[in-house]
Amino acid sequence: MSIHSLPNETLEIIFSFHVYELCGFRTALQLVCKRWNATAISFPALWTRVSWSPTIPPPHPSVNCRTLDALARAINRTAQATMDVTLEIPNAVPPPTELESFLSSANPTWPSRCTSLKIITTCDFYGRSLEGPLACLLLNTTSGFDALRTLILSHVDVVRCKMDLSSFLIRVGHSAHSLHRLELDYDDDVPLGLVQALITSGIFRRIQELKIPTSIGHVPWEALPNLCHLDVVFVDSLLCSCTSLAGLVAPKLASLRLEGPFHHIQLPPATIIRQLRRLEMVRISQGLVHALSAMRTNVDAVVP
Amino acid sequence: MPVLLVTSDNEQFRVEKVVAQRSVLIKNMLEDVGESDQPIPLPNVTAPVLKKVLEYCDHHQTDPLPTGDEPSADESRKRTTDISEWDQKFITVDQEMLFEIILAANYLDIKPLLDVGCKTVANMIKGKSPEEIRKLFNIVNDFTPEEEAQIKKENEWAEDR
Repeated sequence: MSIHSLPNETLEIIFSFHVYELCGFRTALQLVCKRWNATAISFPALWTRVSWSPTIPPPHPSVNCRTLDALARAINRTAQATMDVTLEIPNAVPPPTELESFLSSANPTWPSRCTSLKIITTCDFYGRSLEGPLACLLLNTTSGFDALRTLILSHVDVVRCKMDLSSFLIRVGHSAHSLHRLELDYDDDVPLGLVQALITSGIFRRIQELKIPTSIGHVPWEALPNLCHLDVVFVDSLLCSCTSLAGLVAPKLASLRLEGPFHHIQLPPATIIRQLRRLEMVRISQGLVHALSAMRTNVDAVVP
Repeated sequence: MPVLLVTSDNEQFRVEKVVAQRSVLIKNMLEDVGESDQPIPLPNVTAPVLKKVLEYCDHHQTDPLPTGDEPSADESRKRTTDISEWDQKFITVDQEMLFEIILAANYLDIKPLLDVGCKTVANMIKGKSPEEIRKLFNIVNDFTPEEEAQIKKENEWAEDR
């Protein structure tokens, strides 16, 4: 009796425990022998966290593809499994042949299998348009975003993405019926127009969990009728002082997380604070902790 | 009411129903035949292996039974390789017995035991080079140098992080 006796399904279970393991584990497993190589390649769970991020460090652990060719291959190895995808839209448009090759080789259903999709754009001194790659990657198939549950927009430049971003958000709004979490990840001001695009696309209406930086400025809370969890992260920007939770209207809000340090913050109404099942505070001054705790009669969790 | 199990080497084990039913295979068989004192044949399990498996089932007899809502294969990335202290001691066996237990857990459909066995193998592999894995499990490298080079080349485009 040896490891050779184990059926492929059992070998897959063993491999699955390595998905969060050391750098290079996929290659190590593939190089053991032909059977292990074939099992690894045909086991979608090993390939379902995919990133295409030429300049930004990819999330751990993921199959970090350097080229579109690689992205297509990784996508195809996921077969019909759902995926977590991170896409860094490159400043330099890939050659048309590379884009065409991606479109012809990648399984066109892949957008519909994304459960989590993170879109990143990076600064560009020349302010080059990002329209081509974004549309090519995400809108060139008829596939919707049926499985999407989490959408993360990281530093997405509304001006440089223009109509492509708008079309993308509309398609998400139309097809992502399971979408419930939205994260806006910005180290500086959230671009004007993004919130409006999220409202008109119908995305805001679906959101139950929202993570925003204080640099978002005004949020029309009434456009988020299903909000259950709100996570507000302090970002030092010109606009941050404009962010106000004083007008927060969220009848279903059960959980609030505030991550400081806030120089000053307009607190949510006491009725909101009292309706929470969970209030988490990170890097918040003792004075603020006491002020918020005093508003609550049902304190379950207060984490200074 | 005790249940009578018969192994491939014709040894009989009389065990409590609650212990035997940790195996989904046996549980389903018992449900199909109803109340009966007929022995249940287990043609794929030998006596020494069943003895070990029953030791696990006896210790875990009060654990909640798996509901079938466990993570799907593509969610398995969330799993950890942590093993409880008792399970760790239980599974400290030679390689031959380890693989026998894994096969038996697979056949008898005892998912928690299958996981313990697979986690143990995963932990043995962790951090090892392909050559070290081959040596550990006595696996022959059946790649040609060209095939090996091709896999390495392919993985240059998709680095693991």
